[in-house]
Amino acid sequence: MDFVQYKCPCCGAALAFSPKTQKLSCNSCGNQYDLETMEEYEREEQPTDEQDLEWEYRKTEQGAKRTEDGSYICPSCGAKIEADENTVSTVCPYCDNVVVIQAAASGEFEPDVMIPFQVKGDEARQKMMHFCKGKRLLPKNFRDRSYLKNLRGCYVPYWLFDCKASADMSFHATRTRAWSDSDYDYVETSYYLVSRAGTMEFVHVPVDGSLEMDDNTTESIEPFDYTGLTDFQQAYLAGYETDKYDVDAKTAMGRAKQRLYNTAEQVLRGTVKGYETVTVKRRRLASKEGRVLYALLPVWLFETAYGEKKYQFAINGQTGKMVGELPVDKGAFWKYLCGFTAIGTVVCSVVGILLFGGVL
Amino acid sequence: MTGGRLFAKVGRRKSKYGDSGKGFLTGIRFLLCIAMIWIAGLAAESQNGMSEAAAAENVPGFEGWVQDGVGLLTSEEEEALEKECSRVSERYHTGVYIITTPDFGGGDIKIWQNQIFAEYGLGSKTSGGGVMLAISMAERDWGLVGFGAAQEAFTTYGRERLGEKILDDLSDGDFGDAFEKYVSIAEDYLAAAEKGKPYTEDHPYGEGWRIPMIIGVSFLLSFFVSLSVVLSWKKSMNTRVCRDGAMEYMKSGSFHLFNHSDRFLYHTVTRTKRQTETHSDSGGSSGMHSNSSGTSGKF
Repeated sequence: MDFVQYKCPCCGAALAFSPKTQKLSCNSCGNQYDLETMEEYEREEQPTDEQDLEWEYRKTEQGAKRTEDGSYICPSCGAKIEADENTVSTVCPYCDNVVVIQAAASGEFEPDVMIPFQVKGDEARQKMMHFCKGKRLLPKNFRDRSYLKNLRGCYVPYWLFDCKASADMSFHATRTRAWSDSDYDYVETSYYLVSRAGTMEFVHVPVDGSLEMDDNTTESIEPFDYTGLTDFQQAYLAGYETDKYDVDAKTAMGRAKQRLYNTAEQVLRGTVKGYETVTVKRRRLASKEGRVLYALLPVWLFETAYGEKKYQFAINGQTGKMVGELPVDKGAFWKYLCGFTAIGTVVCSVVGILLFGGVL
Repeated sequence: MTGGRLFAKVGRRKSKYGDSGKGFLTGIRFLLCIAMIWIAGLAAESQNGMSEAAAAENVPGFEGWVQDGVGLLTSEEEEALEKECSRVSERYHTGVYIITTPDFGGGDIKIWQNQIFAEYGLGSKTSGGGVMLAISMAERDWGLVGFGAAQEAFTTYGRERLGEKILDDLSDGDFGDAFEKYVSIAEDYLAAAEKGKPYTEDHPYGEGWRIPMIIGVSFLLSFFVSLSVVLSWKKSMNTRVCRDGAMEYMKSGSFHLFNHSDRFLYHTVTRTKRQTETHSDSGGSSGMHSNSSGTSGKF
C-alpha cells in the first residue's frame, strides 16, 4: 500500500486531512491548506532541470574537411598567401587585393544571410578617437593614436536563433501588512505560490560563432538592425576580412538558451504584481518552429596591447555603436584620487570650521 | 467666587429697579474692587514675608563660600571646595557659592537664590558680582544664578552648558564631583570673560574636539566623493557588457499570457514590543527682574 504524505510549506511538519474542514491541516503551526493548493505546491517542489530547446538546423553537417593544404595563390599577383582553415577572405599582403577563399565560403560554410558594412573605415577611426576623448585615466603613451593603424573590418560569423517559445514558470511571492496596538507592532507576512504561463516569439537572437571574438564584445555591439539583412553574396566580402565559424550552432545554442530563459522569466515576472518580494521557483521553456541561421555581421575591430594585456575594441559596422575597454593608468587614478581628496578636505574643513567651529 | 455671586445679585437688582439704582451699584462695585486689591496686597506681603522667612529658616547662616545644609559633602570635600571657591573668588573678584538645602520651600529656585544672595549680602566686595549653584533635595532642583558683573561670564549659553556638564554627576549622587566641576568651569568662564571673550553659542565651551572632527569628516567625505568620481571614470573606460537577455529580439505583441494563478499558502505574524517614550526635564533659562540671571532644572 502506498502512503501519501504532504509536508507543511510553512514549518515542514507532516500534514493530516481534516474531515471537518475538508482541508490538510498542520498540527505543528496550525496552518490549513486546500487540497488543490497542496497538489500544485508539491508539483512545483519536484526538482526539474531546465530543458533543452529544439532547433531545426539548416545545415545538417558541420566542420567539413578542408581541401587545401593551408596556402593559397593570389589571383591578382600570384603570390603565395598563408591563411588558416577558418579564413573565408583576406587581404593579399603583396598587392593589397582581397582574396576570397572559395572552398571555405561555399557548401556548409556558406552563410545564409549577412548585413553589409554601412560604416566606413574613416568613420570608425573618428568614433575610436571620440571614444578616447576626455578619458582622464587613459595612459599618455596610449594617446599617440598608433592603435588606429590596427583597424580592420571583419565579417564576424554569428548564429541567429528563431523560435516560438512557451514559458511556464512559478514564483514564491510575499505580501506584508503592518499594524500596531498600544503595546506591540505587528507584521503579517503572507506567502503565495504564483504561476504564470505564456507564449512569445523570438526573432534572430544572435550568438557569435567565433572563438577569437570576446563574447562580451560581440554582445555589447548589439543590436543589429535586421531590416538590413540580405542573402549572402561574396561581393560584399571584398575589402574586408571574413572568418568562418569555429563555434558550431550546437555549442552556440547553450548561450541562446540562457538568454531566452532569462527573457522569458523577465516577461513573466513582469506580470506578477502587488507583492513585496518575488523569487523564481521553477522555470520551464519549450520551443517550437526553432530555426538557426548562419550569418555574417559587419564589425570594425581594433586590437592593441598595453602592458601585458590585450585590448579589443569593436564598432558595429551597421549602426556605428562602439564598445571596448581602454587601459587605465594606475598612476593617474591615484593622482586624481589623492588630489581631489586633498582639495576637498581643505575646502570642506574651512567651510565646516567657519560654519560649525565657532570661529565666527 | 463670592464676588461673582455678589455681582450677579447686584445685576438682578439692577434689572429689577431700573436706572434709578445705577449710581448706587457703581459705588458698591468700586468699593468691592478696592477691597479685593487691598486683600490681594496683604496676601502677597504675607507670602513674601513667609518666603523670606522660609529662606532664612532653610539657610540658618551663610559663612564662607560653601553652605552644605544637607550634608552631602564630607568635611574634607567641603574644606577643599571652600579653599578653591575662595581662591577663584579672590582671583576674579566674583563670589563663587555653593548651597545645598533639604527643601527650599517650592516655586522657582532661582528666586530663592536671589533672596539668599540679597539677605546675606553675598557677592564680591569689590564688584558685587557672584555666581551661586544651589541644590534642593526635596524637589531635586538645581539652580545656577549669576549676579551683577558675573552675568557677563555666566551667559545663558554658559549656564546651560555648565548645567549639562554637572547634571550626570548630580543625578548619580556624585555631588562632590559635580561641585568640583562647577568651580573649575566657573573659573574657566571668569577667565574667558576677563579676556573679553565669554563663552557663548558662537564661542562654545569645552568643544575643542569640533575642529579635528570637522577635518576628519571633511577628509572622509572628500575621499568617498573623490573615489566615486574616479571609479565612475574608470567604469567609463569599459563599455563592454554581458547581455543576460534577448528582450529586443522578442517580436512585438507576440507575448500571450494563457495561464496565471496566485495561490495563498500561509502567513506568519511577528510582533515587537513598542518602545515607550521617556520624558526628562531639561533645564530652563530665564532672566529675572533683579540684577541677576539664572538657569535651573531637575537632577
